[in-house]
Amino acid sequence: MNKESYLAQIRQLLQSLPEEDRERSLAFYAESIDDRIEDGMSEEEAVASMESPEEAAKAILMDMPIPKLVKARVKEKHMGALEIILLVLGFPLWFPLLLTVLILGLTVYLVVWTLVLSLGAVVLALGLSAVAGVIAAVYFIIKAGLPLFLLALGAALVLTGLAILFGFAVVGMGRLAVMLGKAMVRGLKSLLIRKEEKA
Amino acid sequence: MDIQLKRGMLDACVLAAIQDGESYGYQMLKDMKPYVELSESTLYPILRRLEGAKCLTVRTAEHNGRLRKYYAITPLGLARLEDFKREWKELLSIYRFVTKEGHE
Repeated sequence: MNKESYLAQIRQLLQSLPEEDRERSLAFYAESIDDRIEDGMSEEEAVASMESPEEAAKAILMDMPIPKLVKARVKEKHMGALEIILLVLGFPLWFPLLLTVLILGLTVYLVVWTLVLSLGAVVLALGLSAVAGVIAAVYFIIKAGLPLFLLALGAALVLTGLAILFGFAVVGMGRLAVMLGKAMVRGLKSLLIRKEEKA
Repeated sequence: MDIQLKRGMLDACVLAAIQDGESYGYQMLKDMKPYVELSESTLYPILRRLEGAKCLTVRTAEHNGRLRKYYAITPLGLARLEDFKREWKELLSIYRFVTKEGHE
């Protein structure tokens, strides 16, 4: 395969993407082939040492944001009259189903973040209480004597410890939530791309 | 390997490939080859992501009558690389403990 037909194949697979995105991605692959040729390979060798046009196209699509993939997917579908009628008649069925699935996914994601947020509130409360404990301790040593001072100081220390412990939990949960979000985006994208290949 | 972990490592590889001066796609792949073999399809999204995160900058220049993109690391990218090295130092010391013979 020569360079032109290699790039043409990728271009064909990316047909439904906006031209700007498509050409920018293609320029990267074209540059790499040119650099291989400059490095001493023949054009055929250079193209053979690249991955297949299908793999390249899939990687480019996976890198696109979801709205662009949806748009591309809609643009790519050429529907016959029967399909359109079915789509319209089936609307009361598929639309609520689709909406439910999307909202369900979003809800799971939000619940995880709510957990992170409430844990954060706990850390804040513990931290503020610890500060209050220190202030109380200072007040007690002036006004009330040693036993109450020790009590307040001890409470402040315990609260600080708890705040630090919960702080670790918040950071861990936050990381998990971010990872979950990324995994969900990847899943949705590969769903969109797989359907595109079938079409 | 854990996908998140690998992704972080490849980001660091790409940043390391330009830490001593700007470079271009194919040269970066060649420099990394003895250590990790990447394809264009792996490199391209990483470069875009790192550019978006302001860890590197891109400029287009003419070379032998065609255009070539050159990538240069930013202070933010250098900081990211330092973070990576520090984290792995810790992980390596854990690894040494885990693989040590005869600990109780």
